[in-house]
Amino acid sequence: MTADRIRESERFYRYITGKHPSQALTERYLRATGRGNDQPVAANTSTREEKILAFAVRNSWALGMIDGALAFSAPRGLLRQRLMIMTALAETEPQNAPLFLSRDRSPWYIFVIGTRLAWGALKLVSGKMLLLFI
Amino acid sequence: MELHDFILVGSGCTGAMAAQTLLEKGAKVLLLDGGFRDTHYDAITPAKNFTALRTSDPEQHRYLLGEQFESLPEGEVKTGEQLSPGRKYLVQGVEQFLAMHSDTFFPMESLAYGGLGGGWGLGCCVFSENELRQAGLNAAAMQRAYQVVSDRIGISGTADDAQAYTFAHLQHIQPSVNMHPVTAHILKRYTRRREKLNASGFHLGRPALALLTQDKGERKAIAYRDMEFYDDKGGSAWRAWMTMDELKKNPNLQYVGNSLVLQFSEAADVVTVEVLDLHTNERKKYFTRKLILAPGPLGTARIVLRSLGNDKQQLPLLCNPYTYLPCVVPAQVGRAVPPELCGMAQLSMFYDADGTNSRVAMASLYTYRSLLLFRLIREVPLGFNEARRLMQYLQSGILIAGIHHPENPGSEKFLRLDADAATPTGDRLFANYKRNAAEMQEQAATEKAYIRALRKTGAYALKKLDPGMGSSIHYAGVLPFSETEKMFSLASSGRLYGTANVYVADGSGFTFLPAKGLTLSLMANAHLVAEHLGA
Repeated sequence: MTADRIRESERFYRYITGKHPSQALTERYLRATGRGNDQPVAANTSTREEKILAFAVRNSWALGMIDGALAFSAPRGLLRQRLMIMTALAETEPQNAPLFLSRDRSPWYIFVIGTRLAWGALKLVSGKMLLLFI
Repeated sequence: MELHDFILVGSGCTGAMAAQTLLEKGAKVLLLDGGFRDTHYDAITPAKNFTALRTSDPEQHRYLLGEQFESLPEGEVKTGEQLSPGRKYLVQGVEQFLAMHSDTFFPMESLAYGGLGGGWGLGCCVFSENELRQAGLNAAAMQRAYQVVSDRIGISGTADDAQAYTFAHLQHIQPSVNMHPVTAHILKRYTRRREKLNASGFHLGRPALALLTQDKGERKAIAYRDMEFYDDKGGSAWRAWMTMDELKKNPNLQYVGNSLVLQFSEAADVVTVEVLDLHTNERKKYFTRKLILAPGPLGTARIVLRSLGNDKQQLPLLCNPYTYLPCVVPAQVGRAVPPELCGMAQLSMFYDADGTNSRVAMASLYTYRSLLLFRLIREVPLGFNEARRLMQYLQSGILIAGIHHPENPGSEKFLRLDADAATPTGDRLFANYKRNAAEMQEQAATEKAYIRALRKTGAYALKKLDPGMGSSIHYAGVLPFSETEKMFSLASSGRLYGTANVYVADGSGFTFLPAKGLTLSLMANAHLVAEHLGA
C-alpha cells in the first residue's frame, strides 16, 4: 500500500512540476492522503475510481489524458482529489513558487496558452476513449 | 448566590461593543463565552509578506495548508471550507455543541473568542434611512451609534461614488488601502463610463473597511503583507477579540470562557442563566439582574426557544443570498503582481435600481492570490497540468465579485428546535430556507445586471457559483422588532417581550436584511441596547 502510494506521489509530482519529489514531500503526501480527504464524493464510484487511479499510476503516459477527461466528467473523483492534494503540496514548496505565482508574460504567450488548450482538448478526447477500456 | 448586575452572552462584534459601552458607563459585567482561540498558527506564521514566504519558507505548508492539512478542501464547496488553518478555530466545537440539520440552509456559527468577527471581511456600511426603517431600527439613534462604533474600531475609505452606500456621513475616516492593478483598471474604466453606469443604477467605489492605514493606539497601519486570511499581525484589521483583550484589563469585566449558555428563567427580578461547561460538560447556574444575549441570531434563537418555546414553535429567519462571479480582466492578464498587496475587498459595486437607497444589492470585488492557486486550478475543466499553466497566466487578471442580495422575511424561512438526546444540549436546530419565485427572479435579474455592468468595466464573468443559503454568514430576524408586546419579538430597546430583564443585542430584531455588509449596523445596534441599559 505504502509503496503504491509512494509511486503515486512520484508520478503525480512529476506530472505537475516536471520534477522528482523530495522525500519530505512524499512523506507529506502520504500523510495528507491518509487523513480521509482522498475519498471520492460520489458513493457509487469507489471501485471504478480506484481502478482508474491504479491504471493512471501504472501508466504515467496516460495520466494527463485521463485527468483531462475526468476534469469534465468527474472533477471531484478520487484521481482528481489526489492530484489536487499533490498540486497544493507542490504549490507550497518554495522551489515551485515560480510555477504558481504570476509573472510578466509577452503578449505572444497567448499562443503558448492556446497551444496548451488545444493540447488539453486533445487529451480530453483521448482520455474519454481510454476510459472506455478501463 | 452571587447576583450580577449584567450578564452578557458572546464576545463577537456585538458582544464586544455592548461590553465596551456598559463598562464605559461604569457597569459591572460578567461575560459568558465559548472562548475557543487559535493557540498555534499565529505563532508559527512568520511576519513576512506572502510573496516572500512563498519563495523562501520551506515550512509554509504548515500555516497555508495546516499541520493536519485541514485547509485542503474535501468534496463539494461547503460553508467555512475557505477558512485558512489559522482561522479554523472559528468553527471549533460547532458541530458538537451547536447541532443543526437542514437541507436548505448551511450556516457558519462560532464558539470562538471574538466570534465570527475573527474572520469578518471588514466591510463597513451605514444603512440608509430607508433601510434602517425597513429593518425596524431608529434612524437618528443609529446614525449617532455608527459614529461611536467607527471611532472605536477605525475605518478606512474614500469619498467617492460609493460613499452614500459605504461610510456615508461618518467622520474621522482614514484613507483607503493601496489598490491592486486589476481593480485600479476597473475603477478607471468605470470612471470613463460613470454616467451610463450610474443611470442604470450602478455605483462603484472603494469599500469602507475596518482596516487601518494609519496607526491607532497599539494597532499598526496595514503592512501590505497580503496575509489577512491567515493572521492578524500588527492589528491593522479590527477583530472583536482585540477589543475584548482591552476590556479584560478593566476590573469591572469578569470573563468566563468555555461556557455555552443554554437557557434562562426569570423570577422576582432575578434572571437565572443555565450554562454548559464545554470542557467538563457540567451544568452551572449564574444569576443576574439583566441578561443581554449577543451570541448571534442562531445562538439567540436556541436560547430563547429552550427558555420560552415548545417543540412546535417556529422563529423567522433572514439571510442574505450570496453568489460568486469569478471574472477575468483581459487587460491585466499575464502581468506580474506587486508583492505589497491587501487581500481584503478592493472595490464595492452597489446596484440601486430605483435610486432610493432602500433595496440595494452589493458586490465586493476581490483579487485572487493569497488563497493559493490550487483552489482555482481544480475548478478549471482541464487536466491539472494545463490548468496550472492557464491559471498562472490568468491569475493577475482574476477578479472575484461576491454579490449579496437584500432579503425580506417569508413563510418558508424559519427555525425550529427539535429534541435530540444524542447532542450535549439535548436538541438540534432545524432550519428551513426556501425563497419564493419572485425573489429568485429578482436575484437572477440582479445577477444579470451585474454581469453586464462588470463587462462595461472590463471584467468578464466566467461562471456563476451559488454556495447555498447560509454562506453569506449574514443572519438576522429571528425575534423581529415589534411595536406591540408579543412573544418571540423584541421591543425597540432590545427587550425580549414576555420577559422583564432579558435583552438581545445582536441582529435578531432586524425585520429586513439589507445587502450591504451588516456588521457595522449590528455593532451600532448593540451599542444602543447597552447604552439604554447602562443609563
